[in-house]
Amino acid sequence: MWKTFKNGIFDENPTFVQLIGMCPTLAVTTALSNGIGMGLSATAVLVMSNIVISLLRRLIPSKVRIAAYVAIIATFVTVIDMLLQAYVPALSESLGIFIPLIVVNCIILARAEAFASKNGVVKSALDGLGMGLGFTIALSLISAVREILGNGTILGHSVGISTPAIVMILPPGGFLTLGLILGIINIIRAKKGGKKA
Amino acid sequence: MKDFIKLAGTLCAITFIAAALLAATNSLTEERIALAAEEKQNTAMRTLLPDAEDFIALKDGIWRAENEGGTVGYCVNSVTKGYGGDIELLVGISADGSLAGIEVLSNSETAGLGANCTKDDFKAQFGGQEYPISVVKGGGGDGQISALTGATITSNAVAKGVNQAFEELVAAFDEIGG
Repeated sequence: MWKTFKNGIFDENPTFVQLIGMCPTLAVTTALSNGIGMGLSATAVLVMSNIVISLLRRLIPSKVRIAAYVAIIATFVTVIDMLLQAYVPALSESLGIFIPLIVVNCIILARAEAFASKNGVVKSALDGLGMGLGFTIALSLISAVREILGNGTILGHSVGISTPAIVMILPPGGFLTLGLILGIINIIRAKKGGKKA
Repeated sequence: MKDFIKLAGTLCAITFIAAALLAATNSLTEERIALAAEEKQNTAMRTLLPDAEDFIALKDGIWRAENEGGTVGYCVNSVTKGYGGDIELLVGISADGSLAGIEVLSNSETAGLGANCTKDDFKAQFGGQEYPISVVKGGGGDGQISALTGATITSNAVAKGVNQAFEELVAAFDEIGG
């Protein structure tokens, strides 16, 4: 159980190891608050879609499974979007464009296909939670670096950089940050792997 | 043949349940969403013209703000094309024809760049200015707004939207003879 949960955060982190869901990763990580917001809303959808798909896994014929998953995921996202707009308009406003973007986040479809359609409900929920948190941590890390270097702030508070490099919050900064973090992670992994062997 | 019915039937059932769920959520939230939008509009109008007690709709998207002393100003909804899509503005115009201020009701600008148009230090530049507004690098003169860092298109769009609001108000006056 614990392993299923941990898997998404470390060993198979969707962003840093599997390198999936790159579009939202690069697009929304301009400020830490965006990274956390996108990560947590994707986590909520991921847990719920994994639970439902795991429950229905014996009922959905494999030939039409992708169409069924897409319908289920899109329904969830739309329901969440409407509920947020009605009951927590402030949150809905700050998450605004990210919520519809979750529909096309391939991490959710990937987990439905690779995990929830083959495993039980509890395990699938844990997998969704682990993968979602892994995604959230990755987005938070990238967006924190970009916000500090590109805007001189963290969560809107100044960190005392007088001339931030705007390029870091523009699209090239997203690629640069992602590449550098991936590089650092690979160095750490290589060192760890070397010691074990 | 059997397979065909099973496949289509399952998908049909899933989409049917999905549609029912969406319809139920929609009917549950529709009213509250409309209320929240109205509330937002009212809060924005009260922020722009705090002296006003009553807002009377002159026509769609234009309000006259009044209190016991008479007309204190006008609020005009204005939509303008930004970098990432439409920017919805609420423009407050004082009775003397100067700009009382602006509120950004919705935008899809780039987070960290154009989306900074919702921040107070950008919006504050508009208070007390007069028509027409233009964006000038390092501006600060009459009718001049300095652009947001890295978001010239957004800044120009907001200035355009404000000018548009003035024009719409004048057109509305001509129409109804106010």
